[in-house]
Amino acid sequence: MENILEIKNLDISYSTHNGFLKSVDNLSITFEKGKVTGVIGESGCGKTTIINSIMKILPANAQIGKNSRIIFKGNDKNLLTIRKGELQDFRWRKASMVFQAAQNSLNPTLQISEQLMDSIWDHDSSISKKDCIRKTEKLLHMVRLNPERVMDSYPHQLSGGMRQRVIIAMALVLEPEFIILDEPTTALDVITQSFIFDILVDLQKQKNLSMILITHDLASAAKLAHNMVIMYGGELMEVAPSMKLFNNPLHPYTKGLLGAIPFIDGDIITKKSIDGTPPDLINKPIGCIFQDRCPKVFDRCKKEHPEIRDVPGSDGKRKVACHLEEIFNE
Amino acid sequence: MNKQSSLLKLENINMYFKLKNGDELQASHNVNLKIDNGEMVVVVGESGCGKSTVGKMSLGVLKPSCGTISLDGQDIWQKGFKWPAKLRTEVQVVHQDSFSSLNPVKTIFQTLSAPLLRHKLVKNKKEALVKINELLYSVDLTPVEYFIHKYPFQLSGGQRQRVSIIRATILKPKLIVADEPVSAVDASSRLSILDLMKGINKKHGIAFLYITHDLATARYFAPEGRIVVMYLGRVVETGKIKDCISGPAHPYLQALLTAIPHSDPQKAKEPIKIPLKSFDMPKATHPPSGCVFNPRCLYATDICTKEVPLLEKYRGRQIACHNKEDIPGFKK
Repeated sequence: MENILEIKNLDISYSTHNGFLKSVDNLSITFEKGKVTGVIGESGCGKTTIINSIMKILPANAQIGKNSRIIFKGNDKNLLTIRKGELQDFRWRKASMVFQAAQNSLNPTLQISEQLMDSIWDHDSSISKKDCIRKTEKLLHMVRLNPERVMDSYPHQLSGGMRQRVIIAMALVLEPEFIILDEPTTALDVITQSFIFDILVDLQKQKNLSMILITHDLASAAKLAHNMVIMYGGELMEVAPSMKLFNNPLHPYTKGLLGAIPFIDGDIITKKSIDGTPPDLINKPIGCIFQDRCPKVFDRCKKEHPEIRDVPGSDGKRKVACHLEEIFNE
Repeated sequence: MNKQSSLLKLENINMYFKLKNGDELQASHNVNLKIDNGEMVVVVGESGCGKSTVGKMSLGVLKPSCGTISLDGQDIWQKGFKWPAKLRTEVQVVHQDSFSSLNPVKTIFQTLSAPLLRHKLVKNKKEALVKINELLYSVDLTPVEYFIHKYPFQLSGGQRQRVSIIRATILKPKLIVADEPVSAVDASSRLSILDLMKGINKKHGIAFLYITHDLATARYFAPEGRIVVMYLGRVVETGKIKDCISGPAHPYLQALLTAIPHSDPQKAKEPIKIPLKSFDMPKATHPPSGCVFNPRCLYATDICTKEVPLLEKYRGRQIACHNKEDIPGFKK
């Protein structure tokens, strides 16, 4: 099992008026090569902070912990501390990103062809105009857009779903092997959502891309993701292959979350919200971060912070951060 | 109340918006909607289908271009109708974004005591405090002392939405229009907000008009209720939620239901074929002639491009489709 990206002991805090907000707390994850890892969590769980630190686009008030390391493809360089030149090489050429609310991230005054060709030329000025156009057309085909319709259009002439597909094409421009998708389908209609996920599934298989899919929507993540990482309050709760996570969630938070999502089919009577509210990340509680909302809380949860541990027999693919021994004894 | 009149009735509503560039946008076309006392009605559709316009017209915020809206059998746009006082006490709203719909410089107490004092439901602030204490307790915003003097920004999205719901129920209305009330709430607390509204419906018999794009929450919210599916300003299918979701008859609803992720991850991973000819939504300013769905419909025939289909009874519901007998059954 080769890893495309490793995050080790990532600590990110934001300095705010009320003190330091611990957005990501001592978090370590590895992302498998050629696989899609879904990072799932509710708002404020730190999922966007993680990818912002991978791409080095953290806001100015963010502080990175001393021992934090992000390593790309086993290279010993720490992405958090690389120089500007190396960063330029890493960003977009090796790793690209599809942003949240991407519909608004296109330049409204540029035609689609200009936007796409700009980014090709910016990283490779030797390519001829003819080749560049051909390449752009190929990319648009890949995301199932008709180049004739799209190339000379301005963003406002396209629908939300079409703009989103242009953005996906843009992420593929330099043929990176690693793509980060930050909520790629929020604010789109269900039919368009399903279509875009279809395209992403195809692209991933064709090019054997490694992807991180950041989302709060477990149901649609299941379509694309091979592995899932469940986050809560800036910490990892559970790591598991998607199917296993759905069929047999282990952490009480994962159980609660799956139990709180109504589906279009199946039973609705047993569905129930998780009681309580998300934790205060400025004054984090001692012990488990989920203790206030956990139905299975006991003494130890309030005193001791649960470390993330391998579930026996899972080959290191399944990890849970919980004091409940029953999870590990099965 | 007049005999056999519904609580709220929208009859042959058309609503046009004049755009800056001279185009006319038809947000509602011949919409008929009836809500009885204590009923749960869900309006679903994708963005731009006119579902929020229906909500705003039900609230009396928008005046329809033509057609009548009546409350308890009285035309609300007729001269002499005591408006808005009656409408305000009988029809209330819960907005999507609780942050922008609560006054940021007023505490929860100030926000909630205003309608109580204005409509003389309490004599003074002291009584208001007692009443609001009870109300906060009833929606689980406890300890009450902790919440009552907070400002909206100090609460989480779910908590703010609870305050909005209290504000909507405080005047004991007959109908609450809830426009996407949970789309901005975290997934883990969404159901508790829906449960709260369901409870209010049961306890006080307040009717709900729930506007959403999310069919799964619609099904959870009103399993016994009625659904109105809209597409480009038209009602395409309406009936009992149970029937329409398990066996959609209109090709549009079938496509919509196919696109929704399945609860079984194994099935969700399988590639799905959405029964549509095209994924592009036509422009609302230039809707297709005949049936507005015809350019995307797999089963469209000549008549669909020429004649507008009317809502007709079909298998225990109403659908607007010329070829309803020829549409294959729904399988997922």
